[in-house]
Amino acid sequence: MLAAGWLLFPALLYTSTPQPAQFSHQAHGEAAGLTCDTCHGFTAEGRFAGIPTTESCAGCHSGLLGETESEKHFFANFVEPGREVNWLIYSRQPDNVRFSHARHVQVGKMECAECHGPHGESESLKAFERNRISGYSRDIWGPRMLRVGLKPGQGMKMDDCMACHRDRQVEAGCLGCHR
Amino acid sequence: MTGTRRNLLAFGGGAAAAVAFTPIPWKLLDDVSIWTQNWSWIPPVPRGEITVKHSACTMCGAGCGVQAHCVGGQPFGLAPVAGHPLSHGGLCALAYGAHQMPYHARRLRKGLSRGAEVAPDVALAHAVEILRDARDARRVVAVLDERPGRMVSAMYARLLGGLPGSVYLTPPAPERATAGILSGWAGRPAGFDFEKARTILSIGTPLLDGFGAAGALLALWANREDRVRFLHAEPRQSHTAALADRWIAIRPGSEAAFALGLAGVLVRDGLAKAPAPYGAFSLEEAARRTGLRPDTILAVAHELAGRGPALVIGGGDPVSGPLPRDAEQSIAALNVLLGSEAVCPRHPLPFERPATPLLDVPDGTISVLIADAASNGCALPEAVLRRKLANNAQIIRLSAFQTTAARRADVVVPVAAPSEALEEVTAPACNARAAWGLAPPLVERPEGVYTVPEVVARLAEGCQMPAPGSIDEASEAIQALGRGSTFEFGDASIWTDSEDSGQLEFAALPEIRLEEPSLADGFPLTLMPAGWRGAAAAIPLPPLTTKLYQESELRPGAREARVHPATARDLGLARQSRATAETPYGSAAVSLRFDESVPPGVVEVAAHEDDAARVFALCGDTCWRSAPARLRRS
Repeated sequence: MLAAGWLLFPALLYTSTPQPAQFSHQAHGEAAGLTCDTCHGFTAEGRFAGIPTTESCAGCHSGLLGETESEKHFFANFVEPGREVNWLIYSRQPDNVRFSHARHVQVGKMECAECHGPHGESESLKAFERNRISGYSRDIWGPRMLRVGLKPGQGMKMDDCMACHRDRQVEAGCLGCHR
Repeated sequence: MTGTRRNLLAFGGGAAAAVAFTPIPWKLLDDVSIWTQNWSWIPPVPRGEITVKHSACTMCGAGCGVQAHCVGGQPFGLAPVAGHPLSHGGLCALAYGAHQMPYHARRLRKGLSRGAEVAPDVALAHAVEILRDARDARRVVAVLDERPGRMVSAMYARLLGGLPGSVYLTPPAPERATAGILSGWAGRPAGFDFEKARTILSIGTPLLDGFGAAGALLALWANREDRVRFLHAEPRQSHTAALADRWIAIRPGSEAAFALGLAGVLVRDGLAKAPAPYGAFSLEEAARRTGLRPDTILAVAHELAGRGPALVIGGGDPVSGPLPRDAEQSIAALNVLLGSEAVCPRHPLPFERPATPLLDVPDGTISVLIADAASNGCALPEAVLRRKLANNAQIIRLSAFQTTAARRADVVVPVAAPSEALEEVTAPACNARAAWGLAPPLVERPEGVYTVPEVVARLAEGCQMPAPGSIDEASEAIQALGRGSTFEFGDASIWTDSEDSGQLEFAALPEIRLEEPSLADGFPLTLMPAGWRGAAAAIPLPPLTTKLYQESELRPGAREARVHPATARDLGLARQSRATAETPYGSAAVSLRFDESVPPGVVEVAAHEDDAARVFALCGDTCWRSAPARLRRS
């Protein structure tokens, strides 16, 4: 039963779905002279723009720039037909949660990796592991079932938010994050 | 291993024990709880660009500024407005859920006529008919307005002007109690300038928990440092008692004795700045009645006199009602004795009309009562209201919700809920400086539902009376004053008077006679209704507040009675057991909770929404503050 609980249960709990397109954050990072907020930036009003649209990708990729299969696939399936990519978002929170990137990044001076981990250095997009019961990504719970010894950027549960607020002595009432 | 029954049982037992050491139960618990948020019948919160609208909360009369966070024009959350002159960047629990009120399960979109649903215009026509008949028969018509001082209040007063013998009423509210008595003694409106006070003593009033605008006093408390001290006298360790710099735990019902004891010390030690008729009330007598040590009363009196300007505020609380008359007068008189500079003249708004306190109206005199829809967040027991009505009196109620009071009215005209219509906001009645503003609607009101000014105008029209005006007149009247300052936030604004407050002069204080507490044989305990602002008010609680009393138990919920563990032990009652609370006026089943903040000998029964009528019935029909009681195991 112990083995089933620790090995079989996690395997059964999550389904694995590949992203609809591949993307190398590493290739688009320092090597290309870009930073996180080049694509995931803030609007003129200070609002977080979130995931870039295909149109913004096409700003650079109006034609093929490389020879990788993933770029060819992306170009043929999304840029040329002008289709948006239905990205599976690892950090998606429940509907009753609101999170201000502007407040955390611009006012709180937090680095993206403090919540998102080394996602910006990844060579390819890992498969999206969806919890069969809650419907949210495995990244919300974190990689370890016991949630012990998680590194910064591993796990995005309310506990993680509260721990960070506690450490930084920043008060936030229920309605600061919930709606 | 062989498949014996013993082995099978051992395997099952071992597996059950082992599962607790795996992530299965804990992870499943977490995931299932999140899964319950995703049920298809739970409306999802819209996603999209967040925009902000500005308005004011109209759940009570505090007038707090709010900014509504909206997606697609639909508000999903409210937040306070920094720098707002009334709320000072704070909001109470009611305000945080005000945007949910248009979608409340009890939202009334149709009228009610003798309990049956009718179209809104049919309900209004019925109301006009009642009013016309009352005018023709020269019967007494009254308007009950929980938030006097608005332009719509002036419209009601004009409507009543065409009905001989009519009366414009307001129910008791903590903010009006001490200030109201001081106004009477000064012969002009009085208010408090909290910023001037260096010592504030509240006696039985939740000053830091739902008095006036929530943010204003809490901001003063949070930034007080050594500038101002908060003292609080109350039998129980309430939220205000817990926050105060000093809590003085007096016996239930001894508020007047405590105030008179303080006054006695001020007079005896030559600290009073005005003559007082009660120097003979001895320190020892006050100590005996309040259960305090004489040196405690002495120290408080000297602190009030030595750390001036001092303010002393009574008024009871929003649920358990006003303090007795002798207590209110004794508390108000302390301000006169102390010569408090924090008690100032209040310049009324140009359209403000004086209202008669409901409790001053002779019993059985009102034939038709028009109850306004606005709430001040306080409880008004139906029995107390009914006592003022004549036999066969009729009630016309303007309401956005199907409450117990609405169901018992003869006619209910459906009106806009909070956030649905342009509404007036004014400063709390205790504030020295008047304020007035308009709260823009956050959502559209349903078709057919009226605004209150529309109903008043239609009532006047139906009775062939002159038009009672409109709320547009208010802004013109305020502009004509040519003074004050306007705080603008988004598309909303609020005007605050700047007229120099000056000093008040008081006539000689009346003699205050201490009423002897009434004792009832066989009722050794004291039952006290308990609650929080809005818990038993004219409009229901926002759904958001269920977190406070259902999930977190931070506030008492329905049918809960809290007693000190020692009281329960003496009575042989167990924690969370069922019991019956009995008073000379009736009995009610309650669920017992132990709470060491409740004084021994007291039973605090939660007055909560519709269930509040059952609790108030235990206190009779003249007072809803306390009653002699006993507890019996069910």
